[in-house]
Parts: sequence; C-alpha cells; structure tokens
Amino acid sequence: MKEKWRYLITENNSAAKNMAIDRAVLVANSEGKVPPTVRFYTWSPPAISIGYFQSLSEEIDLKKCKDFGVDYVRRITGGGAVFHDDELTYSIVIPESHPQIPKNIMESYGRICGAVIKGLKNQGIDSSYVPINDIVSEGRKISGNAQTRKLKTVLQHGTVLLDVDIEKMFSLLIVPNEKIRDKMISDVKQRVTSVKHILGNYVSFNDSVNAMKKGFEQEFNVRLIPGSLTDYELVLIDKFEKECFANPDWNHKR
Amino acid sequence: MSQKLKQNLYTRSKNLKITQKPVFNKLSTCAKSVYKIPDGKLLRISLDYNDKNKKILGLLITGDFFVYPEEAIEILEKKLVNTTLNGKILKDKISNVIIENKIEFIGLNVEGLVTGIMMCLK
Repeated sequence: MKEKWRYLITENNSAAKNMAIDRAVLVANSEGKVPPTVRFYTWSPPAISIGYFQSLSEEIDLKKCKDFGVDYVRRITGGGAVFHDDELTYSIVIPESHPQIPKNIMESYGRICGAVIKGLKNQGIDSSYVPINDIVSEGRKISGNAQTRKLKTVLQHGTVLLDVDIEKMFSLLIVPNEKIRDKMISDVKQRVTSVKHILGNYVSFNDSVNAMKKGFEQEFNVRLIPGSLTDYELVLIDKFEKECFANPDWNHKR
Repeated sequence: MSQKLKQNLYTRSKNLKITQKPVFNKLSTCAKSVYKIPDGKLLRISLDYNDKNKKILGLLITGDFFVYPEEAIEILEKKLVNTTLNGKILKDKISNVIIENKIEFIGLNVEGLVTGIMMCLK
C-alpha cells in the first residue's frame, strides 16, 4: 500500500504569506503534526523572492517594485533572486530521516528535482537536473530550486516557469548599468525558457499542477491526498508572517 | 557607498545583538568585491577594515550560494572580526569556524571566500 502524503494548493497569496506557509508546514511536520506535504502555489501580487544570503538593496530596485506593484520577500532558503509571476511554485516538506530523502544535500536536490522532471515529462517536456539547483530543458533553465534543512526537516521549494517576461524581470532586478542590462537580457533570453516557449502553447496553472502532482507521486511512489492547512499551521503562518516575512527587519537584514 | 556599507554593517550588528558597535574611525576603510566562484555561485563581500593593521572591523558575505545551516553565515561574519587580512590566516580561521559549527557550503568554498575578501584590498 502506498504511503499517503498531504497535497495542498494555495493560490494568490502574498509573498510574505507564501513564505510563512512553507515555514509553518516545516515546523508542523517537524513536530509530527502533519504528514509529508507537497504544495503548489501562486503569488499575488507578483513578487521577487531573494535568497537568505542576498542583500535586498543589491538585488532589487525597490522603487520599481513599488511602481509596478511587485512584492518582495527574503526566503529562509539560499539561492538567487526569483521573479514570481506566471509560474507554478512548489514546495515539499518531509523529515530528513524519511527513507525517500538522501542524507546528502546535493543528492536530495537531485531526488526532489526528479519529481519536477517527471511532472514536466507529463506535460510533454524533456528536462534534466543540472547541479547545483537548476532543471534545464533544451539547454535552457526552466526551473530553479532551493532547499533548507531545519528542525531535522527538509523544505525544498522551486519554480516552473509557465511563461516569462524577461524585460519586466530585469526592470526590477538591479544590474550594474544599462549597457550590461542589454547584454544580460540577451544572455538570459538564451539561458531561460518556459513551458509556453517549449510547447508553443500556454498551459494553465491547474493543468500544470495536475501533471506535477503525478510527477511527485511517480518519483516518490506515494499517493498525494488533497488536504488543507491545520488550525495549528494557520496560527504559525500568522506568527511567521508578522514576525518575519512581512517585517522590514527581516527583509532588509542583509 | 562607504557610509552605506557602514550603515549596513551597523544594522547587522544590531540584528546580531552584538553589544559592541563596529569601530568606525579615520583608519576604517570600506571596500566591496564581487567574485564568481569557479563552478559555484556569485559571492559579494562588503568589508570594513582597519587600514593600518589590516584587521577586519566588520563584513557582510552575500550572494546566491547555499550555507547549511543558514544562520551559520552570521556566526562566520562575527568570528572573522579582528582577523588579519592575510590569505593563510583567513583560510585557517574560516576552516576552523566551519569545523566548529558543522557548516556545509554549496556553491561556495573556503578558497572562494578568501579570494573574495582579499579582492577588497585591490
């Protein structure tokens, strides 16, 4: 009999709430209060998340974010700045000791990315894992991923680009000067792709989620059972949102 | 930039609840470097150091790398204060902090950190 994990879809949350949910699920799972959980989510308004170690002021043009109505947040995971607009974001929370999760961090990246790769395959897209934390298709990045391990629990979240507007992305991220900006946009266009670009037609979030859900079930040989956030998690989300992710002290800490 | 760097470092010192503020005086020199770690990630160093004795007064290690546990980066930054800006001394100090605190780097390494810090002097 297949192991049952929880499966959540939470659409249109703010950047602070999304990061608070991931952290709350991690804490609840670490205390044995919820099973391993896979979540698919979207961001509203669009947002930039920066890696834990990044400097907000060095990465993001905060004035332009305000002008465009784009939110921002510091993640608890490392990695780079990501513009979350037309994409599917996933997270998985699972105990470090779970037999499906390699002890080695790099190996566990590969394993979890394997679920995303199967999810893309279910949409007709061939892709592969490229260490450290990318998934590429046709030689271009389609997914970025970041993992943390806290309280003996693994949290990995990542993106699958459904469509991408590189000019908009670069108007929000800080680049050294205009000449370099043009070069970077040109370079990134060569290095980044999306589900729409590869398939030639737009795939909705819901359709992509169905394919990804199957991908996680196939990779980990489990059944994902639709669930909802518990009352305990809702309390934690509110706490983490206020104390951390919606708090300027956190977002500007580096 | 210099004032901003100092502000950054001071803000960090408050976050870390360091009781002693970084010492900013006329010998204090601020510098930054950006270094792409070979086969790794982008590392940015913001450094404040004593230009006379070449000791670190404060630094920020930022970038798109991974450090496990994440909070260890702040321990490392704190432990490097008062360290002399010398490649071997820095390498030994960073290596010791990594062992003591069971830190794991991904996309970052000791050599890259030393290079990034020393680049601030050029």
